[in-house]
This record gives sequence, structure tokens and C-alpha cells, in this order.
Amino acid sequence: MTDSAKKVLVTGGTGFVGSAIVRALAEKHPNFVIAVIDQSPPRPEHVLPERTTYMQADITSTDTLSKTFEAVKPDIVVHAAGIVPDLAERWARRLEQEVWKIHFEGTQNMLDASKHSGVEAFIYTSTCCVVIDDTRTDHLHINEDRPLAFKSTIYGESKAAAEAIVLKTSSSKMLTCALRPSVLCGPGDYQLVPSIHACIAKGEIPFLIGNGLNLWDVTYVDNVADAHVLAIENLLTSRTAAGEAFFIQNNEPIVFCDFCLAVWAHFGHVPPFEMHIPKSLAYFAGLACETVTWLMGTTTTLSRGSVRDACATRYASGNKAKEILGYEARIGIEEAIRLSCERRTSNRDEFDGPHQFLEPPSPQAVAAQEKALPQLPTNLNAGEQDSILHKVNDRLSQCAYDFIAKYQFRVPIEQDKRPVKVPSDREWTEWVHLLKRLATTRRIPAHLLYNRQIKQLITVLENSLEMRHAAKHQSRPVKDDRNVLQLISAGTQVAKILRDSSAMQFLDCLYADTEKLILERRGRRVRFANP
Amino acid sequence: MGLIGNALYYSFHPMELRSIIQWKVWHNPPHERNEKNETENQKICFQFLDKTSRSFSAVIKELHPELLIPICIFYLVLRGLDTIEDDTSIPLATKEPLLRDFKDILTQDGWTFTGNRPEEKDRELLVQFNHVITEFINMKPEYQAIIKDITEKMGNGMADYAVKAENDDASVKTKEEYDLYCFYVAGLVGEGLTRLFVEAGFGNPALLKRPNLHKSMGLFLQKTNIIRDIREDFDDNRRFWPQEIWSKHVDNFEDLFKPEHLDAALNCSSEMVLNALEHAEECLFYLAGMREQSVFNFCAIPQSMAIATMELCFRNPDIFKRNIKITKGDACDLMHKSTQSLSVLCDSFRQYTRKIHKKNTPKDPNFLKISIVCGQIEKFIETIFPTQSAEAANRKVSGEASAAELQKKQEEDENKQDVYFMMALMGVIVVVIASIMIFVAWMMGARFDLAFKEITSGHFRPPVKNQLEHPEL
Repeated sequence: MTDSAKKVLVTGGTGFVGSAIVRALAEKHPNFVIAVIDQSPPRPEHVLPERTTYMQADITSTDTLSKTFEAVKPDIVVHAAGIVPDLAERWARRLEQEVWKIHFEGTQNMLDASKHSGVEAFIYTSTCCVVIDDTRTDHLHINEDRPLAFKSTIYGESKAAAEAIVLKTSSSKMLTCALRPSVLCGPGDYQLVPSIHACIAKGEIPFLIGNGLNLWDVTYVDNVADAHVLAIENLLTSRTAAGEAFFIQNNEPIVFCDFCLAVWAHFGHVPPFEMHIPKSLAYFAGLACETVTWLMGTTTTLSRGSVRDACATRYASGNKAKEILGYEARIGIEEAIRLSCERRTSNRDEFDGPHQFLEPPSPQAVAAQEKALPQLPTNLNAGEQDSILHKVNDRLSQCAYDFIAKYQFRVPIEQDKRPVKVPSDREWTEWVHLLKRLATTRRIPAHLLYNRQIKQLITVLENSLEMRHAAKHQSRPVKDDRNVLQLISAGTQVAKILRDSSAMQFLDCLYADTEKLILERRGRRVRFANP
Repeated sequence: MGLIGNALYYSFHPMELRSIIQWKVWHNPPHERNEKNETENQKICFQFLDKTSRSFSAVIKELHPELLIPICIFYLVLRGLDTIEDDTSIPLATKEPLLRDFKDILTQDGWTFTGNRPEEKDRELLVQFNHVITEFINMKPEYQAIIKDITEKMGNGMADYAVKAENDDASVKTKEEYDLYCFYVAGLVGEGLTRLFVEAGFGNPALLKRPNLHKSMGLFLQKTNIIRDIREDFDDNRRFWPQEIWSKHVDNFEDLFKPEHLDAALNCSSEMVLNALEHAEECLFYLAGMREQSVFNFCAIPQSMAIATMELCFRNPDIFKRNIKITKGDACDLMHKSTQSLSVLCDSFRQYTRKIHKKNTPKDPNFLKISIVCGQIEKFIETIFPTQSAEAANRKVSGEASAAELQKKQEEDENKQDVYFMMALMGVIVVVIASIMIFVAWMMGARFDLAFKEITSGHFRPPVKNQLEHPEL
């Protein structure tokens, strides 16, 4: 089987699970040709093997899919694309339509396209949530005979529905099977370990919910990838897995609290005491937290749903996967936790090597630092500030436009933006980005700049950017005088390095005017205060 | 503890007293030794059994008659071997051949041994070993062969150990050596017993194909004893904790007993517990292969005692100070639970596993490993005794009731009917008795018309007589 070069299409292949599947597949079957489709382009934290081709595609669009299938002509499809709602959204219904669209419609589209293009084997990455999200029954050592949960969470329901159609489709023409991994951990995971780690900073460590005896299955991401490879091999050879679903996990159920404690211990945090909070109390605390965060517009790790999750006992039997697929976890849970908590070796930097800590400051010094910040003089009102900063930005945009036009640098054409005709076709922030890219890709020769200050250009460009606020439409707070002057001054420096005399003059005048205005106001206010 | 001490203790621990009383009163041995049919020689053997073993003699005596004598003799033979091995006064030149050839001694009618030092506590057994040999020769040849084989293996193992101790350091270095030592001391007994059970038809023959199961049975018990007896062994200048484990936590073995190294010592002991707990799952698996109640009890009681002892020793600083023991009440409770069925035994295993789990702390470098082992034990119990079957879950989701549930409902309905009938009957009886009383009262001249009138006008009590107000008048 390994002799023939099969073509494999992996959906969601730039994601956490998808990329792991691609890596495992490329390693085990180097002659397979792997194509990846995903909404988002390859990410540095999820490395893909070199020969993998990537195509941007949306599985909810049948047109793009048929084009993709036309181009790839896959023999095998691994459908790993999906969306995992955040903890806060997990038990909510807000994203219902979106989640159903991706899981159910997306899978239906994938099945149709695969059947149409003559795919031999179709592997669906399902989830154990298709069973365990049903909170009406216990889930101790469950096997694949358990009923699918058609009434649970948006995630569980939509995945269950999708899995059902996948398995129903299995025929001698196109064989299908579904793998149901449990909660995953591994390097690059952005949900489980990071949210547990985040509890340290929030001071939520010593509070453990429930009786501390509920066992959970956790799976290391590479083990899931192994299971996918085994499933492909099975469908290509003995075909015993066709039309079947399998629970995939590390087969080392662990108490959820202990998993958290082990993660914290890995980061050197051992709770000084442990407080077991009864489930009922935690449930109401979750409700309270939800209410508070709903009012404040923030997110919380504690919600009724997460309490239900943290107290539930959920582990499955790995017998079927072992018997039919020959799957056994290669990386044990202890190693898995270590790997998930550590940075990836390729991302290691000087901070991971030998290091030292500085003597912490005295409590008095800290107390002095933590006093309320002093008020800086603010004499301009928001309207005036806006008008000044607009002037700076407009003039600088003009300056950048002139510079790029003068030396005929390239301006990349971007799909969703109109071509540049006048300076105002781009925001100043966009000009900054463009200039920075030109500088860092060494397209701007140093001799064009004042005193060959190519490195300083990047610094002053960044200084000239106004601090942006997280939310776009929030009213921006008034800046203090020094900040306004600093922005104008940084703009002057930009013009200086770009050797634009007129812009420099304009900005310097603006600086002088603004300064004068501020001084006047200050003088008036002083007089006003001491009649 | 004197009588008063005991009384005080149990008045604060009524549950333990309850367990003891329950065990003493209600324990019903599956088989009882029939002293009438025993020969004089057999009686002497049982006396030795009582003298040499505190814990085993009671369970052995409740064994099925088929295995009663063989296992008693097996025990005494091994005890004899042990008495020779333990005695440091016997020179190696005498000891080694004696140990290696002990299997042949078993068929030498009339053999006795008087070479033990007088303070050796089981000296008398070897002095009168001829009684044991007589019984051994009378046994079924199949049983004889098994006991002989194990005696040979164990004798050679002990001889090797004695030679090694004479020539160089015999302390246990690696985990493999530790396992091997425990195998010779206890694992081999497990093998012998298993073969006896299977031979007698009381054990699943498949047990013989999986030697690691009975090996685990022996190792689990032995390792528990080694953990518990750390202080006693240290005082007697014996070290069984493998260097591979303790050297990870302390530099010198002696440091384990120093208060300043207590944290390290506790971590070390928890690694020892972890090492032992890895056998627990296989022990339960083994017990599932027992086909006779008395044999099950015989195997299960020491195992449940072991897991309870393990729980007691886990992260307990006292093990480095003195010898600790589970309380008598707990022991009786465990014996009671070990003599029912595998599922009851599993419940107490799970209970003690969870207690260990609760004591586990993330400060311990083996925190996660211990947590995983505990999880594995629970998972294993769940595989043999599932709390909820797939069909049950299916029904629950679809809302159907199972046959058992339907039957239960029917029974409940019947019970309800019975209750209604009883209540109706009571009502009828009350009415009849009341009528009779009223009739009798009426016959004796009671004026119900007057009483009724008084009640309707609000006088519920008879009028108070006035003359009591001024008695002096």
C-alpha cells in the first residue's frame, strides 16, 4: 500500500489537529501527496511538512470545494475542519447557526464532493462530545455502543449529526469512518492548557471544584494523528473500520483536578492549600460569575457549563480502537503534559536556556510604584486633539506618498483595498506598515535617508503611531499635552529621516503652535485658579 | 491499651466496634475444620500453624477440606525453610546445602532439625518437623509435586541470597532486584497456591497461563509489608527499599529517618507505594479467576488488608518512627467485605484507592504517576463491574424502561396495594373496637346525649369543683 503514492486532502490542515495529522502522515508515508485546505493560512505554531500544498478554501462553499477537488483529485480525504466554541460559548446557543453550518453543511459538502470525485476513503475527525455532552447519563468507561447525543451542546449536536451522515455514507465505493478524540492537549493547543495556566495569574489555583475524583480522558495531539494514519491504512487494506466510529484517547483517565495541579506544578506553582468547592455551590458561583461578566462584558473561566464540565466523569474504553485499528497511545499522559507546557523546541530562544532572576524590589518601593498615577496636564479638548492629530497624519501620509512616488517603490495591490491614487487612499497606519515592510525587506537603500538612519526610521515610525484602543468604536480618552506634543515631534522626525523639508517645516510649525496654545491655556488656568 | 483504654477508644469509634461485633457475630465460614475426623498428627500440625502464623491460620482453617491439609502443610514447609534462612547462627556451609536440598527432606520420613539457635521463635517446628513430613507423604501426589517444586525454587533462591550476603553487599539496588527478591519471598508462594487451586478445580486454569497475575498477588503483599516495616527492618539492619528509588530522594539511606529530611522521605515512601500500586490491578484480575468461596476469601483477605495498609502508610510520617497497623475495627470491616464477592471487594479497593488519591499532593514529584495509577485501578474496576451499561444509557436517552425497571415498577405497585389493604384493615378494626366500646358504655348507662350537648356548647372538660378553692373553710 505504501508503494502507491496516494493523494490525500486534509481539511482544517493548518490547525492544531489537522497539522498534526499532516505531519504524522508525511512521516509514515513519505510518498503520499498531501494537500491541505483551511480557512486560515499556515501558522508558525502549527508546522506543516515542506512538500505540503496549501489552498485557502471554505468548506461551506460548494463552488470552492469542487474547484479544490478538481485541482487535487484526492484518493483519501481527512475531514478535520471544525470549530470548537470557547469555554464561555460551549454551553451557550449564541453561535448555534455558525457551528451547525461549519459542521453539518460543511461535512455534507465534503461528502458530496468526495463521492463526486471518486474518493476511496473518507476519515472524519469527530469528537467524544458526540456522546459525552449529554449530561443526562454518566460516562464511565463508555464504549461505542453508547447513543449519540442529539440534545446536548451546539458542538456535540452538530458533530453528532455530521458523524451520523458520514457513517451512513460508507459504501464499497467510498469507505468512511469516524474518530472521536477526547479533550486534546499538546504544543500549540490554545484552549486546554493555556486556560488552566491562566488560572495561576487569576489566583484561582486553590479552588478545586467537585469531589476531586472525576476521571477524564485527555489525548495528546500526536496520538490522535497516529489514529488517523491507522484509520487510513485500515480503510485501504482490511477495511474493517468502514462505517465505524472509534473513541480515541490516551487510555489513562486522570482526575481533572490532578491534570490542573500537574500543569500548575509544571510551572512551579503548588497551591499552598486546596479548597474543594461542592458542585452545587460552584454551580451557583458559575451563575454569579456569568451574570457579572455579562454585565461587565469580560470573559470568565468559571461558568455553569465549565462547572458541569469540571465535575463530570468522562472516560471511554479504547478497546475497539485497539482491536480494529491497532491504536495505542504512543505518548503517555505524563509526557503529554510536559510537552504541552513546554515551548516547542523550534521556538526555543535564549529565555529557555540558562537564566537568572533579579532581586525583587522592596515592598516600600513597590508600594510607591503602585500609588495612583500622577495626572499629567491636559489643556486641549478632544476636538482640538483630533484636529491636530489629523493634521499630523494627513501631512505624514502625504510625506510617505511623496517618498514612495519619488523613488518608485512598489505598492502591493491588495484585494479588498482600492489602488492608491492620492495619499488619503491609505491611513497613516497603513503607510507606516508599508514603509516598515520596505525598510525591513531592504528595499529602501540607506543612502536615501537622512544620515543613513534606516534602523531609526522604524523606531520613529512606530513612535509616530497613535496608541490604538482595543475596541474601535469606544470613545477615546483625552490625551495629555505631552503625548500630543510627542506625536507631533515623532512625525517631525519621520519627515526628517525621509528628508522631506516641507513636511518637516509644516510639522514643526504645528508643534510650535500647539505648544503656544498649551502654554496660553496653562497660564490662563493658573490665573483663573488664583484670582 | 488496657481494658479502659479500649473502652474509651471504641466509645469514640463506634463504627469500628460495630465492625468487630459484626464480624465476630455474623461471620459464617464457608467450611469449618472438623476436628473429630482429624488424626493426632494433623492436630499437631494445626497447633504449629497457630503458633507460627497469626494472620494466616484463621483463613487457612476455613479452607475447603480438599485444600485444607495441603495448604496448611505448604505453609509449614515454607515456614520451616524460612526459619533456617533467618537464623544467622547457622554457618553458610551448613545452611546452603540445607536450603537447596530441602525439597528432598520433605520425603525423608522422620527428619528433624535441632541446629537452630534457642531464641529462634519457630525453632520447635523444625525440632518436630517429622509430623509435617508424615502429612506431606500422605497427600495426593499432584499436590506433593507442586509443593516440592516451589520448595526447590524458593530454597535455591534463598541459598543464592545467603551466598551473596556472605560474599558481598546483599542490599537491594535496582527495582528489578527488588522485584526478584519479592518474587522469591512471596511471588513463588503465589505460584504454588495458584497451581494447588487449579489442581483442585477451584481456580480458573487460565490463571496458569498468565504467571504475572499470581506474581503480582505475592508482590503486592510483600511490597506492602516492606513499606510498612521500614522502621523495624532498619532497626534490625535490613534494607529492602531499593537504592534506585531512595537514592533519588536522599543521599544516605539513614537520612530517611531524620526529621530534617522528612519531605524527601515522604516522597520516597510515596514512590514505593506507587511501585506497589502498579500490581493492584492484576491482583483484582487474579481474584476474578477464583471459583470457590473459601479460596476467594483466602486470597482476598490479605489483599484488602494490603491496600488498606498501603493507604495507611501513604504519606504517613509515622512509618519512619514506628510500626503502624490498621485498627482492629478496620481489619474486621475489611475481612467482612473480603468474604462476600468480588464486587464488594472491588468497592473497598476503590474506596482505599480514592483515599490514597486524596492524600496525593502536587508537591510530590510522582504526583501525576500516582494519580494515573489510581485512575487505572478505578477504570479497571469499572471494566469488570460497569456502573451503567450501553443499553441502559440508550434506554435512558430514548426514555424507554427496561424489563428490570418494569418489573421493579410492578413490584412497587404490588407493594402499594399491600399497604392500602393493610391500612383499610386497620381502619375496619378501629371502627369495630370503637363500636364495641361505645356499646359497652351505653349498656353501662353512659349518657351520650348529655355529653354531646356539653361538647356542642363548648365545655370540653368537666366543671372544676369549687370547694377546693378554700379548703380551710
